[in-house]
Amino acid sequence: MAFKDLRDYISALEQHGQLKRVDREVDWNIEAGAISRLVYEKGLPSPLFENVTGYPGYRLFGAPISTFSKLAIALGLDPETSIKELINFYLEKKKDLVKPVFVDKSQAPCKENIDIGDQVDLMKFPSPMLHEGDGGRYLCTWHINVSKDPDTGWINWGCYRAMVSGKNTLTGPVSPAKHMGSQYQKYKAKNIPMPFAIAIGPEPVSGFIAGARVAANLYEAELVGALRQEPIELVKCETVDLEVPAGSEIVIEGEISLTEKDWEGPFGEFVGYSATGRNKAPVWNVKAITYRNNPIITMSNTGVPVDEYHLDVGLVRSAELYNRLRADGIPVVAVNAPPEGVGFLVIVSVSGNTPNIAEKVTSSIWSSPQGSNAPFVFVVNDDVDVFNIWEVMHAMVTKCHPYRDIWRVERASAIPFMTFLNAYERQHRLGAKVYFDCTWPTDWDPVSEIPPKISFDANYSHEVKEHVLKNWENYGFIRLA
Amino acid sequence: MFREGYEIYTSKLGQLEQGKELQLEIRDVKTYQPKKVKATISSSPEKLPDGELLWVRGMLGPLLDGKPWRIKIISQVQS
Repeated sequence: MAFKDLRDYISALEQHGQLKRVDREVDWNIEAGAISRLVYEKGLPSPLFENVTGYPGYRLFGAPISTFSKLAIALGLDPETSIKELINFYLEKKKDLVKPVFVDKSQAPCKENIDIGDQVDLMKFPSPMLHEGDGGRYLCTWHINVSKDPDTGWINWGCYRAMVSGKNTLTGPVSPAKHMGSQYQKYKAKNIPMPFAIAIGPEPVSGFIAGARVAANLYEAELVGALRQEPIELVKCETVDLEVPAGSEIVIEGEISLTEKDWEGPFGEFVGYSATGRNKAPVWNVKAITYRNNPIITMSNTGVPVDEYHLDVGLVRSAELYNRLRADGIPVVAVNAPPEGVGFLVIVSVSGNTPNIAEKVTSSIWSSPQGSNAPFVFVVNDDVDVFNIWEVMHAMVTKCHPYRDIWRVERASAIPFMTFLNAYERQHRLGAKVYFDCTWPTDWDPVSEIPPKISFDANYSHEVKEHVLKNWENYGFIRLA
Repeated sequence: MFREGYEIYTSKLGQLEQGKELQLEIRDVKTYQPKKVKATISSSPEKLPDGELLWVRGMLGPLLDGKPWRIKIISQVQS
């Protein structure tokens, strides 16, 4: 059964030993952020700060889905579910999207408190200062941005950061390369401020999918319903023609200005660095805030992997690229966009003996929305487990010719987060990409030129392996996993 | 969390002119509320002994000087 809201999910985390209630007073000013950052880096239970300096009655929740185990719990699966099984689950459930259902505001916990117009005061919330040097207090780091295409009516869910810049204003980047940003360009062309809604602290699958890069024109709420295996309940906003998850902790409604800009950033980012600096960004004018009693503000303290963004990559990008490769007729066995690769690395295993398979794989990936900004691609044979980085490394150093099998492309697409580019390259989006062909050449004689692999699985006969495995514990060893 | 005073962002330390009245945008490190002020600044505490602490950050966020500067606010500028 799906979690009805964040609080339900938090209870589940607690039951699984994946929550730490912190009732000692913790400062929203850097302290909560620093604790959360260490939680990510040590893979620890998610902290629920119940006593925030200067904000009685408000709570902060850090590292909401910071490990695959927590993600499995969020999806209603066993915490030990492997990443391969999570990918298969995603691909299977995605086949049958589930439309959301709409509830009346009387049934929506996010409407327990409603502030409109002059009542709006973003300062009443303990927006955290997450990293030293951040441009401001980021209230919005793990949430859903809801926006609508003015021409087609396509509703997009995304997760775009925003900081508090005034009593009733937020500031946040609106990149044309992102779905919400592409919609914003249409509002600009029509000279209409863009309505938005931000749902902070939704139930976990919604928060997870909002941050994932799914196809344009796909309504994320339907994918969320598919993964939850129950429709998500939505409620209409007060002042904008949008809907948000009814169980959200806080909902912020308003319009993104076409003309007003203010300083935003820097911010510690998913790439593991503060990469894009301080810039002027659009002002988001807030018209209404609705919120639950004792609201919980979710914080995703992005930085070095692994955090929520990286898990989004690890699951959704891997799954979507698998589908893309299959659709392009590639004999793909598995795809891993590992979280530690921050979205810049894809590893693909292929079966068979197709000539130039690495080039085919990479062309497919780089021409897709999910893979266009992955500058590093590794292609391996199907005897390599792409989820075992050491097997991938072994394949690279034994099969990838350092001169012949590394293919580089200049003047490739780029995003400003690619910190290996210099400032000029980042400004002008002059990227570079590379793929590593870690497969045996198809023109090598399989008997005389391709060396036989020496591993338990590859070298020993079926009879020997069966005999050894059957007697494993009799030899005195503990049972194999 | 542990700091006092104000912060300011700048591209380079050299862009902050010391000893003369400037119009600056700073923020309080306790509230992060920005404000525009007329002030004089100095990297040397001896030159502004009654000044408040001013931490200088680069546009990517890190402190450009490990030691705080000093700022003497003359007046607040209305936005």
